[in-house]
Amino acid sequence: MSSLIEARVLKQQNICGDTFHLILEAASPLQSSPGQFVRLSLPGILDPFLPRPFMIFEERGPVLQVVYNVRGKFTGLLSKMRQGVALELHGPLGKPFFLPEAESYLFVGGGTGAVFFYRYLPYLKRKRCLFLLGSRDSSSAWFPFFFPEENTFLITEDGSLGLKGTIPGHFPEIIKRFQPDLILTSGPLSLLKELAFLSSEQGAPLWVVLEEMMACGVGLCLSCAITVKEGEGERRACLCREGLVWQAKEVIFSEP
Amino acid sequence: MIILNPVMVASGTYGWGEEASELIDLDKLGAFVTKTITLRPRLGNPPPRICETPSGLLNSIGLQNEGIECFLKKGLPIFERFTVPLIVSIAGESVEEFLKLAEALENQPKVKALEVNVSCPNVKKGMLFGTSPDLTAELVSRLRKAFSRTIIVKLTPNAPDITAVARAAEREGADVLSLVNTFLGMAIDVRTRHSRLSTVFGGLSGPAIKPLALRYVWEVFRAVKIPIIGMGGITCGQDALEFILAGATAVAVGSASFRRYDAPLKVLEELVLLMEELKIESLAQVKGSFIYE
Repeated sequence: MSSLIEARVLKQQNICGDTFHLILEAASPLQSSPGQFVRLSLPGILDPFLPRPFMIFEERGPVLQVVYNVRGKFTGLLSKMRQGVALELHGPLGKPFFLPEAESYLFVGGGTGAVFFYRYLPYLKRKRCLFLLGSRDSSSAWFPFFFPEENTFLITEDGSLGLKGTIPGHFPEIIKRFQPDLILTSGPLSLLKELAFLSSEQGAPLWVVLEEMMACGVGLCLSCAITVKEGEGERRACLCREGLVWQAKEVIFSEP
Repeated sequence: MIILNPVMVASGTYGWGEEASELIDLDKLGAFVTKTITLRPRLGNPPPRICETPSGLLNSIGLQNEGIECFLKKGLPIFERFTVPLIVSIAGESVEEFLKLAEALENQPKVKALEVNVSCPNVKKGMLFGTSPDLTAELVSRLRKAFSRTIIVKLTPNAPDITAVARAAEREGADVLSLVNTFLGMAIDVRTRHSRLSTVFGGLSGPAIKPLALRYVWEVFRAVKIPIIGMGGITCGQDALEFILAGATAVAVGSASFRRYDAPLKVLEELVLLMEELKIESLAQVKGSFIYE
């Protein structure tokens, strides 16, 4: 059950490039599960009009953390919110996602898509796992601050940090060497589509974390619909109600 | 149809009841208007289905719904637990489709009114009827014979002359008019040069359209005698009162529910406080009392 509550900014930091780390204190604990998100809105402001969804990076009691990129007007304004400012919070939202049982996991994240993985770290202590995280350059690579160095491969397009190149470029080699039981990927749609194509020739099942423009967050408006296979046909599923994580083979990716 | 308070939800913004009943006490609403139901199930348009524009949003959902049969089986029973007047929004591609829907709902006493959606901008033939006074007249006159309770006709601001459509609906027996549906609009992604929606056009809603919607309510109010449900960008009690002063008997809250699901109830609370402040005893007394000369 979601609720509308006030959340005050405790701290906000520019981690690197356009990436910000926001720490909020909610009026009451959300008790969210991994895979769930919140919507934040700027009270009293009609433009931007819609609240924006944010993955819950971490939650402890009433304190929750969000990591996001400044992309447009909303996130631009949000990044300027300082200590004490009250935001409107709606959540927790979405269907929880618990990792399917496996011995080894490969997590592939592009940009702030990797935010999704952070809440699974405590569940991975006795597992073989590898994080393959990519960004444009070293100035936009926020992950070194948060992910365990020993099992993280960093990739930058210009080679300024970690391996040079793109995630899809290194993906087949990493798969071959690591042999994961399960792959979870989160990032831009173009990346997910490319990995879905590449992994169709591999053995391990690929799970994708999807995003769509969202309005209500609770299944009223049917805005955040994706197309999934159903029997011989297809149907639309709302990410806000049915969950953000899908097996790549279930999803019919839209063109272009 | 009797409503106990003047604030309802706008069709398409509050689902069919299942999700909504988990969010608020539906009985606190003046009426519940379902998302539009069609004869057969519709997949709706592919993503992306919405994009935000200044103080509003464009949507192109495409009337996704599971069809009338499924609604009667799964949707309607939800309302047995509630006393809120239920208004079912219907859309068809032909007079016959509309008639079949009306006939199916005529036998359902829980359905207090039909809202005839002749104004959806996001499907083929969605606005066919609503942009033509003649087609609206024919449709309403046929529906009048098929449905004995309240018929509401939802008007589109994309009609060349909305007052002509309004008068045609009134003449053929519509009991209530609701307006406005969304304004046809578009948005282009300058990097890809594609539409920001999966379709070329979408329907614009939200505070951006409020002054436009208010003007249409006022013009239609002056053209007809039947009650009007006013809507378009209402986010607070003051907005609601503006529509009532322009001639609306009741109002509907739409996109504001996407910001806060309890927006309709907040609008109602604020409207009551505003009435006290302005010493308005009844909304009927001030309806259409806009001073313009």
